[in-house]
Amino acid sequence: MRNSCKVTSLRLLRLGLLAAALAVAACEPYKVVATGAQSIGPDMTVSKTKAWVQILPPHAPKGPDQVWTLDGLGLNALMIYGGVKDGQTLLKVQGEKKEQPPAFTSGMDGLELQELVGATISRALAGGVAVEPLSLTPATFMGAPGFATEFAFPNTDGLDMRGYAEGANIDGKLYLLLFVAPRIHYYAKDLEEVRAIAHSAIGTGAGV
Amino acid sequence: MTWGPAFDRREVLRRLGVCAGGLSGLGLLGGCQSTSVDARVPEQRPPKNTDEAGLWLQMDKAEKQIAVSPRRVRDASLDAYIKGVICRVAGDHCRDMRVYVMRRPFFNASMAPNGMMLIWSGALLRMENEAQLAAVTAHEMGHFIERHSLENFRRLKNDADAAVFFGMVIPVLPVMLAIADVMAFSRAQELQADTIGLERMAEAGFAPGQATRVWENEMAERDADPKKEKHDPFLRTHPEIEQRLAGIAKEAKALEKPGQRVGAEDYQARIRPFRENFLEDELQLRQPERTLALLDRLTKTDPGAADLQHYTGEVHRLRHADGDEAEARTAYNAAIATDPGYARAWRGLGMLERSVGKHDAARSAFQKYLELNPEAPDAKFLQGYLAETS
Repeated sequence: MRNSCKVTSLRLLRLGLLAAALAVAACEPYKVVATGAQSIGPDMTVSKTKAWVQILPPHAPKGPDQVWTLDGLGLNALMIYGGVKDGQTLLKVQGEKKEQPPAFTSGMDGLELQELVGATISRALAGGVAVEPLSLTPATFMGAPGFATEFAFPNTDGLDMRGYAEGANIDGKLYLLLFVAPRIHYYAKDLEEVRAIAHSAIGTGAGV
Repeated sequence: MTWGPAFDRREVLRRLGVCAGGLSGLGLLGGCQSTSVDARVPEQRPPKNTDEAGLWLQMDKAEKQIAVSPRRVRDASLDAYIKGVICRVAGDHCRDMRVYVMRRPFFNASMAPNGMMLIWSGALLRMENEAQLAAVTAHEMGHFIERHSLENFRRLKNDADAAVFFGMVIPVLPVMLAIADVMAFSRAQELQADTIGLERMAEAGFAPGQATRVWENEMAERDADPKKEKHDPFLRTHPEIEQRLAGIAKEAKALEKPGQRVGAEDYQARIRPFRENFLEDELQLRQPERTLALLDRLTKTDPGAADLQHYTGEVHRLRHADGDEAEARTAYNAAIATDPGYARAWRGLGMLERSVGKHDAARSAFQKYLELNPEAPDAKFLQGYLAETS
């Protein structure tokens, strides 16, 4: 009786996996980001040159307005924020009971934003290990005084990762590009493109 | 079923063991392999073509990943020190064990059936002495010696769902996920490991009362946290904490003898060089009440330490509650008074003063920070701030 149950449950599981695979295929987890200007929320537009793919909800990490990748999220993830409001977190940690990263507050500037990015990555991607800051420099983002920071962290899969964030707090809302990739090969491969996207960011809405 | 200090723990264990074996023996799990195992023999790998060899193979694979993980704290002298303490309680099993300190800011340690012992940095930060290290590792050794993970492996294999899990999911999921299931010990197994751990640490000459102290410290920290973090990995795998603590305290008391080793000074001297990094990880958890309780306790064992004073300042600065500004300023200034060359405290003070609009005070603190640390990663940004506000 136990064995027959096992066989039945195996068949059911396989059918379930097949159905799930079909369902996933039907709802398309990604789409190619078209060339030219891309709107990120109502206030921001960016441009890119490489063939980025946008990961669509519910497959994308929750928090950013858009999540792009070139080779897969584990190899390069570009999270783009077009106006984070006071009290919002940059990345939501999966699981209802999980502690969430600290929230953005409207008074933050470069130094505090570097801390916010670090604490977010630590909590959401690094299993609680502190991010190692590599640089923090002033930057002009969407025509406003902002910041750029590079950092290192080991992710929860045990990979040595690098990250880059560039953005600005404009009128109490955070406009930000947050890029993470493995240190070996991928980070250096796409960093210049990410910087170019950051420099292409322009304000488009009434809010900026 | 309930049990507690009023019961004889060994008798309860024996009964639980009979129950667990009884289900299989009565054929209620038709076709099941017996899950009961004997204690392990030192320096012996399991014979090939056995389920235990398969389990070891999975753990060997995980160990290869862990050995090269960037999350590992790589310090041969720290590893050797910890291994030395462990070997005092391990006896003949010493040569079967390999120690890896992992950067995880929670209190946990685990021992895989192949001899891989993982100690999380959050545990090293929280322990106060060698006897506590011996207590925690001897407990894990109890699981190892009694081969509890093999018992669990067999129990999981005997379950149809687990058979599907092991057959189909392992190839595409990280090995660590499988380990988590095998290493989720039952209450009976935890009690048995408690007993073995206490006996071994006492035999090795360590003060068994420190095992109780580990738990008391953990509970005090948990009580300080208004959210009482329910998903704490340590507590999740160690249920019924109060009942267990009572049992441990009773057994520890019976094993106490004069002259048993605590080893606080040696332990702290070994951990202190790593403490700043461990505290930086702890800070990222943003659990201010818990971290302040921890810092307060650590300060009692190591008063006047600049890193503890600095991180007290950091917790207050990042909490933004009533009174935190003054508390943070006091703590940073205490760190600076202890060690005027402690650059991080100057930076923290600068961040604090800047956030409350005291730009003159912020400027002088940042200038001192940059004098002490001209190659600081944030030097360019701070120079920009200094130029703007001059």
